[in-house]
Amino acid sequence: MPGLILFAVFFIVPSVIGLFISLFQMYGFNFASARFAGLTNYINIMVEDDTRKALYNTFTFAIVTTIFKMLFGLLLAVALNKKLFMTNALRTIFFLPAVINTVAVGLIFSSMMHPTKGLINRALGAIGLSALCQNWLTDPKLAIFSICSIEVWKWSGFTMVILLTGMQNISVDYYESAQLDGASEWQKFRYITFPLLLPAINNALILSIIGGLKVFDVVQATTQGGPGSATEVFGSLIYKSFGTGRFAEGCAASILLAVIIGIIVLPTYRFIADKEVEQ
Amino acid sequence: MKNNWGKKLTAVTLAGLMTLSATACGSSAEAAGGGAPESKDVETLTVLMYTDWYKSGWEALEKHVNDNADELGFRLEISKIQGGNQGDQVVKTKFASDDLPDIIQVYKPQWVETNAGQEGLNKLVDLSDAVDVSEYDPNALDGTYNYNGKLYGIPMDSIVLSGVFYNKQVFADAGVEVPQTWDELLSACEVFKSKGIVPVYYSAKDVWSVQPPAVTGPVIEAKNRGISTFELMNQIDTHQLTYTECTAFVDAIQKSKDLIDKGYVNETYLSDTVDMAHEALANGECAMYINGTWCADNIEQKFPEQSENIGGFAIPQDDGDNYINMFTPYSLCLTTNCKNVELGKKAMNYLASSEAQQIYASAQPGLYLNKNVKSEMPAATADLKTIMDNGKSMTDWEEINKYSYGNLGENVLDYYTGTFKEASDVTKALDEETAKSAEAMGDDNWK
Amino acid sequence: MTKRKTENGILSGVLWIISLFILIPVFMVVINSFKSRTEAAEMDISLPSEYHIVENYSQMMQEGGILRGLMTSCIVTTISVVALILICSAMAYVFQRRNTKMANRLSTLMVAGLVLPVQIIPTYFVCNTLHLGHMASAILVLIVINIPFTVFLYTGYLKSIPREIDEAAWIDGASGIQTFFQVIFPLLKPVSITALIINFMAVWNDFSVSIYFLNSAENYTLPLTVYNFFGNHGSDWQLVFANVAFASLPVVILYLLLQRHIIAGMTAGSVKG
Repeated sequence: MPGLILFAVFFIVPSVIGLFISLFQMYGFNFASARFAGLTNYINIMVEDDTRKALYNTFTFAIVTTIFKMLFGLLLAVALNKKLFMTNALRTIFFLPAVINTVAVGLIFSSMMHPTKGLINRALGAIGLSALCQNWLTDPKLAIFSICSIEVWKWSGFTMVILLTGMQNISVDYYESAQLDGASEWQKFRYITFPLLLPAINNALILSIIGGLKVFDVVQATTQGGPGSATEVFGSLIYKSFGTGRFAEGCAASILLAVIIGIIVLPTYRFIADKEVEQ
Repeated sequence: MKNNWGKKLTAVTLAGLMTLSATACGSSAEAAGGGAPESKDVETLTVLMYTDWYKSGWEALEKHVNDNADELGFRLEISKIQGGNQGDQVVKTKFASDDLPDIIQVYKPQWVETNAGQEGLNKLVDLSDAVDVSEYDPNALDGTYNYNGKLYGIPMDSIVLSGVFYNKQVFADAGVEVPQTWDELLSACEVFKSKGIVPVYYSAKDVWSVQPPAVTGPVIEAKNRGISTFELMNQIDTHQLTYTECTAFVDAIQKSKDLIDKGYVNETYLSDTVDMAHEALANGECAMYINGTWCADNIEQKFPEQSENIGGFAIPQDDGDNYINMFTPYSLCLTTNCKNVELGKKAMNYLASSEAQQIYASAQPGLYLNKNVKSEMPAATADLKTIMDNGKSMTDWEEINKYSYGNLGENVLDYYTGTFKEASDVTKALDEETAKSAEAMGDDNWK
Repeated sequence: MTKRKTENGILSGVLWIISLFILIPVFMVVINSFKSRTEAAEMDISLPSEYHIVENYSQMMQEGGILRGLMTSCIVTTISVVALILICSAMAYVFQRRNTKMANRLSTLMVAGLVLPVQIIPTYFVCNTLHLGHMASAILVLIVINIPFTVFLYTGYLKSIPREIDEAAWIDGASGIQTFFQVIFPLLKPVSITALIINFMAVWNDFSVSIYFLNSAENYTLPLTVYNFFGNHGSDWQLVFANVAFASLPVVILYLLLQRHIIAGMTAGSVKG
């Protein structure tokens, strides 16, 4: 199959090369200076102070964004699966943020979240809530949550589309018979939509967790890990290892990240997959 | 159903093709409109640089070369990639995989050596026998363009000097003189603060811009030790000295934070950008801004009527013996990938000549290395140039290091925001990064 | 019925209010691309005192190789997306329908592909060793990095298509390939359109691969051109916003064209009937 060959040449081979390089010590792409180093690169990463902070931020980010993306995605999907006034327009609007590229999103929110000139604080001030004004992206404690909200803003509509697609497969017969039995909206959701939507929910959930743990671009576009290293995540740590020329360490860090993601994602996937029911 | 799906796909493909043909028409029209027809002996040389380096100077020079391609015998085709870490990464990869353009603009030949090794340096053509450098001061070329006895590149762009930029009107209104010592600077700040003017503007949203206040430190350290920054960095490269041992460096970082603690810096400095700093300085919302002469260039471009009103001085030290940092212009290098080396050399010779450099300089005023280039420069740049001409400047140390020290700006911000408690934590972080990079290279000095 | 109507009315009202959270930032981009340079630098949502639509957009189009970028983006995206849909739907079908050990292992490998970060630099060396052109490399790499997700998407959907349908086709004497393209593929329409949109978005908006492979003047992609307005014109926000709006437009149009096919509403959705 051509797909598999492509996949092997352009994905597996580079990954193996990456794994190989991660076991060496070298600087830049100076292959002549490479020496076998065993696990030194991995140990270097794990003992670093920044790594702990990055791990904390990465997990916070993954958990917070997954919860809210799923919640909003599901609510929007249920609401927009009905025939409403201009449903299609609404679906388009909610999907719109996913379409805009991350650099642009970073640009928009950096300016909206400026403490004095930004739209958010000015709006809060205008309605008399200036007490809620924050240094959204520069308060070291708050910044990671502000980035979370940007991610949720961008991707909730995307989750909605995945879930809506899944809803198309639920036979309308179920709802009709439930209707006859006098089921309430909530009961219909609880006993028909939710269980039958589990495969789609599972997909969206897994994608969201993986996306959350791999996060890099939105951080890069808004705070670049700053102020200082307050919003450093694992993805930006990898980027920096490469940036400083310690190529092997970057490879090691990205393999470490893959292992962490694997440990979290695979059991989650299995767990939900076991609960899926065949229609 | 199947038909319908097929139709959709066709529609999308068609739409795609239509856009394609529309753009194709557009670009061919563009090509037809553009200048002299190509004759047979005009060859195109490809050039690669970072987007932020392609400014009005390059724009003018590119146009001039391509308009006169017939006489010169070559045209330039310039590709630009984004700057920053990612751009650097792309350039390093290109060196390693031998995927280079004919001509490449890099920070310095040293940068190539650090990031791509001797092998990388070997991919640059020695220009000693091809480029006439009589228009340049040999001292200015040595150590950077002229490296290890070979001329690896020619200077392109202007010299950047870094210091304090100030609004003359704001100073005059407050009755404040240009400060010569650190104490004078502090009392000046106090005056501005009491008048409700931001004394010093920081723009930490653009992380690099927190560096200029700190980077004078190593220059002062070198001065105190009676050596040049090249020698200072040589000691650091060979592990005879650490950044933390440079007390003047730690002191400079400490002082930059003192200004924040004393309330002399704009409150929202963490969210403010370099752009906003230029505007604040030009409009007199702030009195001073510490940066490189890029600042003067930008103000001249964006607020031309204010340019004369901006001056420059060196960051004042305790003893009033003040120095500024000098950033040498980027290097334009010919690579071994250039098929027609003779033509490449000819082109480089032309680009280094005062004729080409003058075209660049006229479009982008500033301070140029070529002695025959005459260029007007913004008042602030002229102020700093006077300081340089008095021998009170040293080459900036940041690009002549052998090992990466990580990200200074980020470490400084960690200090400003409380993650680091002491100014020396910043330099310790630099030392740790340097050690790691040196170990990765297998340098015995770090064993 | 009337009660239902009021309920729905309230619901859509609430949704429209929520949609403001989306619309305001988007509006900010659009409105600022119409403003003069000084007004755009303020980055607020007030209406411009004077509209500079034609001026800003034509200036944006002239600089930074926008048309070339548009052409490159169209070529790269169209080829990658069509290839992805054909390759991945077939791969997913095989993995999902065959219960052999090999198929299971391969589909686990696909999930691993979702998890593993792309080793972009080794990939670059591989392409260079194979002497692939930059454009071809970019297309192949963009296809490959999107394979795991797309296969994942198809596999999930295929679970809901009963095996009896394949079996019926088999009995009618159709071959494996025929079954797939004539019977199964049409049934995959909603997910194919989803895959089309998602991959189009991913490829169109890609920075990480494009910056490595498509960085010379003749093959810059459209979204990358935004950097031409950053470095060169630090403060020309009206052009930055115009560029952002222009670069996002094709994806929005595509979504508008196709969206009713993804979510055709519950009544049309059942494949089981």
